[in-house]
Amino acid sequence: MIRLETDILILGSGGAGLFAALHAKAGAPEASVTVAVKGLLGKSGCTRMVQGGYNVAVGPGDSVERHFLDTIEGGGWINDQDLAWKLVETAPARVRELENQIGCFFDRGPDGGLHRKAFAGQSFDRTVHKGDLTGIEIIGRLAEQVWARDIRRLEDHRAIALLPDAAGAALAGVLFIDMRSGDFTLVRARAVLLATGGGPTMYRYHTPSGDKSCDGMAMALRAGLPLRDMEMVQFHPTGLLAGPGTRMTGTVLEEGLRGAGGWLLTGGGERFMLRVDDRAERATRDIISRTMIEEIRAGRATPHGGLYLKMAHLGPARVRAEFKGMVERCADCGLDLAGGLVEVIPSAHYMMGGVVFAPDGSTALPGLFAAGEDTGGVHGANRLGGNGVADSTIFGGIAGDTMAAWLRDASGFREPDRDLLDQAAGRALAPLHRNGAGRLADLRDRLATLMWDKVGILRTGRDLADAEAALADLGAELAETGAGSASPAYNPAWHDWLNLENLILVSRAILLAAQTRQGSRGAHYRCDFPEPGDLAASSYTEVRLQGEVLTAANRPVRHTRVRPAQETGR
Amino acid sequence: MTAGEVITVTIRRGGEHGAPVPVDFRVPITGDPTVLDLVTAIQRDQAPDLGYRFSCRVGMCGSCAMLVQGRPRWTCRTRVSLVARRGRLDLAPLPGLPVVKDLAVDMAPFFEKWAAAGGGFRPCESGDAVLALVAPESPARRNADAAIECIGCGVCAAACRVAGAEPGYPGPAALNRVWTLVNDVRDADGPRRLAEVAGPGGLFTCHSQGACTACCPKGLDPSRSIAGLKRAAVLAALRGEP
Amino acid sequence: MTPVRRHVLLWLGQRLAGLLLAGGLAIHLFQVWSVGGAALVARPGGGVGWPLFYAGVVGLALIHGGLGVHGLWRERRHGLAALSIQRLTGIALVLFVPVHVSVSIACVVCPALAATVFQVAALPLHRGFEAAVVALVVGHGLGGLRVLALEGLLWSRGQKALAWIAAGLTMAAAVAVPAGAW
Ligand SMILES: Cc1cc2nc3c(=O)[nH]c(=O)nc-3n(C[C@H](O)[C@H](O)[C@H](O)COP(=O)(O)OP(=O)(O)OC[C@H]3O[C@@H](n4cnc5c(N)ncnc54)[C@H](O)[C@@H]3O)c2cc1C
Ligand code: HEM
Ligand code: SF4
Ligand code: SF4
Ligand code: FES
Repeated sequence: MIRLETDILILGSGGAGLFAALHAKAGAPEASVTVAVKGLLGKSGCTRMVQGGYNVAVGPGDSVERHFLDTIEGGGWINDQDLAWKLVETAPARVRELENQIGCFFDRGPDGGLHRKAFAGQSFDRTVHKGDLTGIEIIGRLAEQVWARDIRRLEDHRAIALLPDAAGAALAGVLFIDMRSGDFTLVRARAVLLATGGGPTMYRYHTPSGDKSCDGMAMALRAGLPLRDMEMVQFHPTGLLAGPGTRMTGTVLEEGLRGAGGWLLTGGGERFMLRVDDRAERATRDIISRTMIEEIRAGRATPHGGLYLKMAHLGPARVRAEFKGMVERCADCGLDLAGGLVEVIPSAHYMMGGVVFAPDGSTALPGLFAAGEDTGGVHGANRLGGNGVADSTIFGGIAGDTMAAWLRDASGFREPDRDLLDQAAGRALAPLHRNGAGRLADLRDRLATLMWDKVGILRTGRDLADAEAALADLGAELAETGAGSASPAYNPAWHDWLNLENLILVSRAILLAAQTRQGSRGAHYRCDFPEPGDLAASSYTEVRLQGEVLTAANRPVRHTRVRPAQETGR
Repeated sequence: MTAGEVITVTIRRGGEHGAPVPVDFRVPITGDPTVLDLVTAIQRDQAPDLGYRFSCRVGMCGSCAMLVQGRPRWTCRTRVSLVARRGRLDLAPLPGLPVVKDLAVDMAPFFEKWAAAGGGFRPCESGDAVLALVAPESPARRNADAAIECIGCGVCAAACRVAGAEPGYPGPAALNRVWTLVNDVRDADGPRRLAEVAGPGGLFTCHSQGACTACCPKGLDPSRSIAGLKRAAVLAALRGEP
Repeated sequence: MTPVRRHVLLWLGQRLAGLLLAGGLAIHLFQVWSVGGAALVARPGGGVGWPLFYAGVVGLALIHGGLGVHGLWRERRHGLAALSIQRLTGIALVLFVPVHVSVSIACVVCPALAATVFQVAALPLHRGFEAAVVALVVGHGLGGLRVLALEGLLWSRGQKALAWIAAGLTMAAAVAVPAGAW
């Protein structure tokens, strides 16, 4: 086992991780800062994949308050309002920083100022962007800045456990697998940021990058931290459906396609959104996703079991010009988006839930900070498009500042609890000594199907109960399955196994939270409890792991800044 | 190459140490897979420890590039039916970078060159200053835009024989980025950056034959960006600048 | 002068000399095609115009070829890895041009030698050789002009088409120039 020390350790190189690294280094230039990531720095994760853009209230006539209200309403009134306020309040400064300091070159309007586009569910056009590849610009520029500084990189390093000291008083370090050699690396740090970006990849159709498997949430659960709002999984209505054999399936076809007037059709070629909502295909993500699943369940699906997206009526030339990236992407799959029909399916996109944290980035465990998609509370029951990348860059930066300040007060390095360390290493090594790697793909498929069918867009108490038993079985089966090859060096089967272990644990958390919320809010829809319930008496769910057992509780939401009744005043 | 056929995929396997060995895999085709899908299928069903890299799977992250039939390509957006010949497909890791294992490489040297060429924005405004007004149609903005959407996949550098042979040469991607920055009115150094890359071993090492441009999956034109840098450097030299 | 500036200006010199050479060699090839090599060498009682012209072309070739070789030498560590058609033809020209120039001068100075040379030149085998040389210089020249267009004018689109046009013109010249000369 290799042992390293660093003052500040950051897990993940998405928007949250990289921003935290830059702010931490700026705030404590003499401190050693290390970014550890499961793949290559700046290449893995979802911030990179952001298409739409970044919400910020900077336009004339717009205001932070309007942005706030949109966020709270979108979130079904269960957001932590202080977190949401922090988000909208910091956004303008963060966008200026991205432009002036980091070098992002967002698109400009005719007047030379930032171009802002419309995004669903918002009262104002406030989404700044760089074409439809905003994430590449943000992460590309952030990674450049990190490369240019004295910040240590641990690429292909997968975090597997957050290790407190023996007294359990504070975090002492993190255990990693150096994926290249397969050896363990123990990194002791005085402050650690959890920014591994969640990622609902346990669903059959999902949009996030392949490296994300809820590792951070699973590690947090095992470290005893509470996760909130885990039932809130956002589905993007137009995931590409290109058949089971391709990784392209599930990837996002951007929202703008519907915004521009694209139609959703049944397998029989009939438009169905008009029946449900006046806004038709321009309705919000949750409404469309639900209606799509209803259509599919009613037997009106396409050959691959999805629905059609049709753009051709807008004129193929216009579609090709306005959505070049999407048209090319489909063409690479042999599909004609501009002139033909493309099969789509709602695709698991984002987890609103995550680690409970404070507006300054701190968590219940001293020395552990969290930011980005790993955290919960900012978005409540549903995230507005454009608030995700804002979340990761804003709270990542704040956590960087907090950690730099924390170093001044924090004591020195701590020694991780030896037993926990051995346990974590043993758990990770176990599958290496068993064979059965050939069964991993099947296990993953079954998990994906189970979550999709029973804990997906339309939920019932009965389905959830079925899924509970099935998940337990899957977990037991995984424990019997191995990673085949004995060599741990860059062994994808081993990491698939570890991914599955985490995905199953977090799936259980989602399921438990979904059972706990007997009502429908935002992304969570219970067919057996379709009503949202009293907004003023909203509660949020909190899940913890105690030993092997997950427990859940409903906690009241404190409407600290705005109460539901005030909504009508707008 | 159609569904139902079986394709023979030859993968050059091996780590950083030890000579790579070509290994054949026979894979039944279902649907219309990408090269990455084939590699995934092989890893899942035949070689669980096969090393390969991907992340976004939709052409945004630039981590899946390999040599496909001897030519560098992004594999998540390359369909097998377009590149396989006579039921065979040949795969190898991207050249010019240390191999981690099998098809996975370490891209650090690529980004080290990028950083060494000064491929990072240098601010002149404080973080909270009012944003620069840049007309979308101004030539500076358009020049910067043309080169800006690079995903750092390393394909161009793999295609460039000069970059392969001359360790000090920054390579097409890094120079492409420098060209964006030279055109970026918000950058503190802008045209002053020319002097950093115009010396011996620098941008004039490029022979403008455009292999980089021919291979760039994003349709960018690093060769033109470098030509732009050359022209700007010559004009600067004639003015007696660097 | 800073090393960077020197480097840039030397590069510029090589490119400019190449550009001028293109004009010079076009005239030269036209001459060969229209009046033939023998007549060129034996040009009766001409003034200083043509000698000066040829002195200029040779000078440009010295600058262009010399700087080219200088560059190649600097990059010799590449081994043969960075060879392109442009470079290979450039190297071939560097080998051919001195021979060609010295033989031509010798022929001008000594008509007896010229007679022998043109006897050899009349051999069918030599026609093939001539076609190859013309292809070499035209190919390298057009390839070079294509590069100059890209670098000087930032022409990027249509470079492939330009390459094909250059290849076509080269073939045509390789046939036409020797044919015209005879
Ligand atoms: C296709 C797509 C489009 C999107 N479009 C938008 C949009 O238009 N607007 C918007 O606001 N939001 C959008 N989002 C959401 C947005 O991407 C996220 O909200 C946000 O970027 C998450 O940032 P993050 O830093 O928390 O995580 P990520 O950017 O996902 O980064 C996570 C990092 O953690 C690393 N990691 C994971 N596990 C481990 C481990 N065990 N050890 C070490 N490192 C680990 C990963 O490799 C990665 O580097 C989109 C998401 C997707 C998937
Ligand atoms: C017909 C007109 C000519 C033109 C337009 C021309 C143009 C060019 C150009 C643009 C290059 C640069 C290629 C690169 O950097 O890769 C080049 C290279 C070269 N040329 Fe020419 N050239 C011409 C004639 C000649 C002649 C007559 C000679 C021989 C003396 C010659 C010798 C060379 C050599 C040796 C190189 C290699 C330099 C290098 O690759 O770095 N060229 N030429
Ligand atoms: S044009 Fe220049 S950078 Fe591009 S491949 Fe050729 S030598 Fe390399
Ligand atoms: S310029 Fe093109 S080929 Fe090169 S790294 Fe960027 S996207 Fe890849
Ligand atoms: S996997 Fe991201 S570009 Fe191919």
